[in-house]
This record gives sequence, C-alpha cells and structure tokens, in this order.
Amino acid sequence: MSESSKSSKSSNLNPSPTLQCKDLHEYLKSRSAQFLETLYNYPTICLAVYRELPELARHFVIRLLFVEQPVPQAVVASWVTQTHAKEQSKACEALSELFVWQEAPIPGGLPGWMLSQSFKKNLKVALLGGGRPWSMSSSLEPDGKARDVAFLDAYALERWECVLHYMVGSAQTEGISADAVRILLHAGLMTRDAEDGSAVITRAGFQFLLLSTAKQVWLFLQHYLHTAEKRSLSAAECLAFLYQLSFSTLGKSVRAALRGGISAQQIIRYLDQHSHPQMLKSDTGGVRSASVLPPTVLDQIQLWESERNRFTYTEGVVYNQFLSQAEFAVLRDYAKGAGVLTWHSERARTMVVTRASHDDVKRFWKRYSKAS
Amino acid sequence: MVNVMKGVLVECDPAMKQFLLHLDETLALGRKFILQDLDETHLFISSDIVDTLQARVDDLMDQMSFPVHDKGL
Repeated sequence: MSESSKSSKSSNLNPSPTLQCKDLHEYLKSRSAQFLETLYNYPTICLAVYRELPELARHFVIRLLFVEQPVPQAVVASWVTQTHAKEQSKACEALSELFVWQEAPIPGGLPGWMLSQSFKKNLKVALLGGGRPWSMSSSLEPDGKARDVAFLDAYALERWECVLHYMVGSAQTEGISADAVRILLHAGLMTRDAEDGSAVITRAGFQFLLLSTAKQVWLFLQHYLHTAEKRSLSAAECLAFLYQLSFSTLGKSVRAALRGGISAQQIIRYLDQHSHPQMLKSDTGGVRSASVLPPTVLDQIQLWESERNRFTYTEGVVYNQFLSQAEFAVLRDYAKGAGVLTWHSERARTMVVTRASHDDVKRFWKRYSKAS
Repeated sequence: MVNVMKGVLVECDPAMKQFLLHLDETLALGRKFILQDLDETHLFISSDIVDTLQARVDDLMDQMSFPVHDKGL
C-alpha cells in the first residue's frame, strides 16, 4: 500500500503509473510479518485469509492444522503429483508470503513447514468454534430504530455517491467529512490546487472513478487503514472490525427469511442457483435428488419452515362434564355422523366440534335431553 | 348437564404444546389463555388470544432458540 500511495503521489510530476488496486492477498503480502502476526490474532481475519488462499494451499492448511510439529517439506511435496507441480509451488508461495506457514528445521536437519502459531490457533477458533463471540450483537440491546437491509444499502450507496461527486468537483461539499477528504488527498486521488488550495482530482483519481464500486471502496479502505496507522490507531483492529462486520451480515438467518415471508422452497431454489460449481458437479452417491444441496441441509431448511407452521388453529366448541358415558357417546356419535367432530376423548368425556356446527349440535342435545 | 365452551382448538407437536403451557404459566402473553388441556398434541384456548399468540410466537421462539447469526458463519 505504501508503494502505491507513493507512486500516485508522484503522479502529479510524472506521467502517472496505472492505479494499483490490490486485492486482500496483495495487500497483506505487502505488509510486514509482524503486522500479519497481529492480524492473525483475529479468527475472522484467519478465516478470510484462509478462504482467499489457492485451493491447494487450503488443503495444506487443513492437513497441517492439528500437527503440532514441523512437517518435512518433502512430505508436503509428496501430497501433490508431479503434473501439478506448478499449482503446488504457487500454493507454497502464497502460504509463505502471507506468513501462514514458516520454514522450520526438523531434528536431523531436513527443512520443514510449520503453520504460524496465532494463525493455527485462531483458524481453529473460526472453524470449530470457541473463543469470544465474533459479533457484538448479543451484548447489545435491540435497536428500537433498526434499519432494514434495503435502507442501509441505499444509504451506503448515497454516501458513496457523495464522495464520487466531491471528487469530480461538484460544488456541494455537504455530506463529506474532513476525514474522507484527507484520505482522498493521502491516496493521491485528489490534490491541493497550487493557487487556491482547493482539492482537485488527479489522474489517478480519474482512473479510480472507472473502477467498480467494490474496488473503489476497498482501495479507499486501504488508504483509510494507512492513515489510521499514522494516527496510531491499530490497522489490525480496524481490519478485524471490517471482517467482523462482513461476517455478521453473511450469516444468513433462515428463520429471519421465513419470517419475512420467504418460503423454504424459495430459499432452496436460491441456494441451488448460487451453489458452488463444484457442488453442481458433485455426485450425490447415486442418489438423484432434485436439488444439488445436501439432503440434510434441505431437510433442515424445511424443518425450520414447518417449525413456524407448527400450530393449526380451528375455531370450535368444547363439550365436557357429561354426567354419564352414555350421554357422551350419544353426542359424540351424532357429531361424528354429521362430520363436525374435531377432537374427542372417551376417558375425559370431552369432545370438540366445529364452531359452525355449534347451533345444530346444541339443538340436537336439547332435543335429546328433553326426550330422555 | 353438560358444560359448553367456545374457543379455539390448537393442534401442534408435543414440544410446542409444552411451549404453550409454559407461556400460559408464566403469563408471557399477559394472562392465562388455556381453557383446557386436551391431550399431548391438543389444547383448547381462548379465541381472543390467537392473534397475539400468532404475532408473538416467533419472537418468543427466537428468545429460546440459538442465535444462528452470532456464530458468524
């Protein structure tokens, strides 16, 4: 990140190099081992880093996760066939660059690999549970003025538009904070005009405008983290907070969706459509199912739905405290014959008939009582 | 003589029936509402509680269920 900001700063003098937009991997790679070590104290970050690793590297991590001693590099190499040597070296490189693992000698002098202690510890927490809760929501009072997702999306978009408008020199400075301006200047996306000191857009700034919103936000955040460090805030903490937030919103609550009126069928269809290509390919073990999702997942989603529809309500009338079993039997048989008996118990001498049939059943009972 | 009561017949699984008994005992809906405990899966309740019950049963069940999103996954 520091390189990119330097290069874009000098862009005012020299023809500007293309704007560098690093992804998470690139960004982390550019940071020091110490910084990464601090980052790996956060389970959320470990999970995010793990997910971004090349597939083969993820396999390596899982295989090594519970190994408490260095594993010979030759052993790791033997896990992959020669035909995939290229992927293997890429995976090893990624793991080394991000300090997910480090070289460690094995007694006897062989070179070995060992996962970084904090990464190992906190990835376990992320994958297996334990540790402190990630989100703060459990300790918060329910928000009386909670906003829905649509509102938040619209709000975030509107705020971002404000920043972009400001960059292209729109006169309105309303809704953009001094902090945001500082970051834009720091990032070299804008610069102070030599004459009047007002902020004007740079070439890098124009390139920035052409990026996708996600890239823009990420680039902006990288510079935010950098300025945060300068103000002696912990960038690691900021980054961990960001990931905490993003994982909190990821957690898709099926129950919440059901309450919102979305059916289990709709959720399943959505998951089907957005499932990983690997799942589409995968063989269900000879069992053909209509869905690519594992049957257990399907069952659970449907169970959650039926849990909500667990009650059936029928308006009705209870008849009880019959003086004799015979009386009970007469009325029960009458209601049964008329098809209006919804529940009955011989032992408790109690029966329930539909509300609509009440007048009719009552008439029958009066006639019967008089006659007997 | 026979006793007659109007109300609503609720059918549910045994676990949910216990849940309703619990709501009744703890006055969670502000008052008692079960007119008669019929059997493992049936209850007879006052008609005028049904709207409140339907509106609040989700919230009440949420309070009892494990908050899924807090696991963060």
